[in-house]
Amino acid sequence: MGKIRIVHYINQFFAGIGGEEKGDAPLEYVDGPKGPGTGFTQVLGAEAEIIRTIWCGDNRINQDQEGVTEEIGKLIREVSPDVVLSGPAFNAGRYGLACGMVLQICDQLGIPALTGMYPENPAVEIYKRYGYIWPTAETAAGMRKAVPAMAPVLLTLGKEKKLGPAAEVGYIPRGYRNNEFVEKNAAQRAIDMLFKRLHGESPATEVPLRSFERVEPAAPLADLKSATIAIVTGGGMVPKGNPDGLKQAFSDSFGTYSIEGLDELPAGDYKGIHGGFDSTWVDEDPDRVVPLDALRMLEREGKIGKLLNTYYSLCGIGTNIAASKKLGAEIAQELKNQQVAAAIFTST
Amino acid sequence: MKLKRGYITVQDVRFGNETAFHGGVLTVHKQEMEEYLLREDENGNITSIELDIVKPGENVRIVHILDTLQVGVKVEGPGTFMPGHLSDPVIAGSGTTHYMKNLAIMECAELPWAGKSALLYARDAIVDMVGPAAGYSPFSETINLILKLTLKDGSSDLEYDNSVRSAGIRCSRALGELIRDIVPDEVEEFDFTREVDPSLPKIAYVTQCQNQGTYSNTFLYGREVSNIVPTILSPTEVMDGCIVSGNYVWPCFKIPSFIQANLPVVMELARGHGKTHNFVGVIFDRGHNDSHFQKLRVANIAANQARILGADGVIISWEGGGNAATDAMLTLQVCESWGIKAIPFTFEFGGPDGTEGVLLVDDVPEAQYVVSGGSIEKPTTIPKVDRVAGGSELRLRKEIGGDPEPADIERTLDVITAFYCGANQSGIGRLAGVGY
Repeated sequence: MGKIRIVHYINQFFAGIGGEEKGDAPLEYVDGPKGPGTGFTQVLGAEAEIIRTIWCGDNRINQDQEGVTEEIGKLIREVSPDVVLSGPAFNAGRYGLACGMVLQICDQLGIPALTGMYPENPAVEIYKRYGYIWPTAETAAGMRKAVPAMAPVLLTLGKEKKLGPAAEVGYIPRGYRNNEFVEKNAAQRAIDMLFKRLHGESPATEVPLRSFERVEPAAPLADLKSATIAIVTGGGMVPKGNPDGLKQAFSDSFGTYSIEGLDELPAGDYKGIHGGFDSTWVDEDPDRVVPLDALRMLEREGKIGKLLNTYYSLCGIGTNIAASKKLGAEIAQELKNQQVAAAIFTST
Repeated sequence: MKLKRGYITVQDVRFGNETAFHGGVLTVHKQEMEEYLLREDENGNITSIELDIVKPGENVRIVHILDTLQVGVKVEGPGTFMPGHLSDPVIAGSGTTHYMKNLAIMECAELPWAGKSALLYARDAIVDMVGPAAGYSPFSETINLILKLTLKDGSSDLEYDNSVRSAGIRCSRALGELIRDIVPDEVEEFDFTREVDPSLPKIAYVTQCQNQGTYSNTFLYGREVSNIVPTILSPTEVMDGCIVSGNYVWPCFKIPSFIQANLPVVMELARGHGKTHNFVGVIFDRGHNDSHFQKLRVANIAANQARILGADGVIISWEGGGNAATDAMLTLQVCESWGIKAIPFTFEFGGPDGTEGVLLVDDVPEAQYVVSGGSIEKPTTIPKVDRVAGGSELRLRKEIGGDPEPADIERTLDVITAFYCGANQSGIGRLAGVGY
């Protein structure tokens, strides 16, 4: 195997063109290392070479993203590198975005790419899925540490085209998760983790920390008497035969069913399909999960304006948050289109 | 309590003219055993029994798995292995028990889908002995003696459940007698009567079972535990099978009786007891409590048991899907608020590539350290196999009809719920979600 061929992207500052005042500097390149690339070349040794260095002013690439990234794509393709390096950008905002764009370009070209950034650089969240981002210090003072750390990773990436798990290699987790068989079983790993904590250590969690969004409740309705109210249920009540083929868990769709002219959901015509609770009792009286009887009463008494003549149903079980948000947004949009003022959510 | 566990390794199983165990080889008189189990089935719910043997490495798919049991026999001391099932519910966990290692008894039946509940029906559980799904189940590595049962129409769920479990337990007991007087290949002694160095950290295990009605129940000394208050058990009682599974609802989420008697956390903590830590006890509990009030009540009582035991740390795990995660997370929260360090292990979500949404169903800010048992949202293609054991068809997705489909063909399942033990909730599997 010949030398690993690397293309390097940097900004106008690291190319020696100038600072902030040269932010509009045009896209240019040289076939060889430049700026931090010379440092990388020394550490990389005989195994690899930087065959082309591309640079552009940070303002220019951010203002003409489409045009400039297309050009960068061409310049990369021309020399068919094994791997592309950009930055490192540390905590620089626009340079970080530019380095992220290079990851995205390479992702489209199918060429592995590495950059370096301070973990809290906003570009990390935007671009981490497209390539690998090595965690660096906040400022360019961290270059001396970043180069020797990133160079071997760059070599591996050039050879293997991908890297091992984030926790082993050290790059910023991209968000992807694979199922893998590891050395110890889950019970043993939990006990190991507990011992570490009992000995005052702070072990790495295997499931990254999570943050559930808090949803602010909407303001109370000013006037219930003129409001259209809808019923939405996660309790999986559907017409007999499940006409839309809704799933009893891991929902990926919802059903809408007419209740026009009905004062209640007749037993026998409807069926609870939710796979997480004993639905015998809601089959016996479907109004226990779709409270049509009570809401019709309120409608007749004039306490609510009217009931939407369609109810929404799915099974709230095993559905991941991303899918739930998507389905929720779709239902909310439909309700909004029908001028619904409020919805009653029944769960189980 | 003090329990000696003697293991007798089963090197091979075959059908023959007698039921006997010699030199590591178990021979089963197929017809005699089938007739015995059929004859003993009190109310004639079982109409036929067919034994089958499936070995590791065979290109076989096992389907319709209900429960899996170990062969064990109480050699000395009170009670039976799996006490309270066709035996008195007396406290086991002391004396000597012999176990067959490397052999599992599997009850397989296409239970009638007569019931009305959308939860409480048996979903088809799959074990592939080889191929991409084999690693989801520890039973791809055991020799499996299959009891393929057919059931008469018209009985109640409760009757089917009893008949199936009793058949498995009778088979385990009958084979257990064969190893009563055999000198074990390997002996482990678990002595919880000795003084333990008081400077060692005290650790408890909170294990939360599933119990939502017939076909999703778990039995403690022979009775299902709907109304259980968190209960302290000695690790050795657990090893003697005081917890038996009757959970057939979601294959990936269940903890079969075999594993309940060999819970990896219990075994691991018991082995290190008195050396690296003091294993102060097992807190047995159920999840899926009906309301926030109930969940909070049970979480507080379970955590309080750990406190009473003097635990410095606990491992928490649960059986069953999302609902039960809430009970467990609340237990963790109460433990941590009292300074008891708590580590849970759990399956995770995340969509096919792990990027979708939050990885857990429920969470508390105190859950800073979580072990992953792997994602249940990985599409898995299972190949065509040479042979199917336990049945010949699969019934998937009852909510859209669940019509039987051939079980031997290649198919892609978009989540892993059909794979027996796939969600790794006992912690027995080496599967983990790994971040890239």
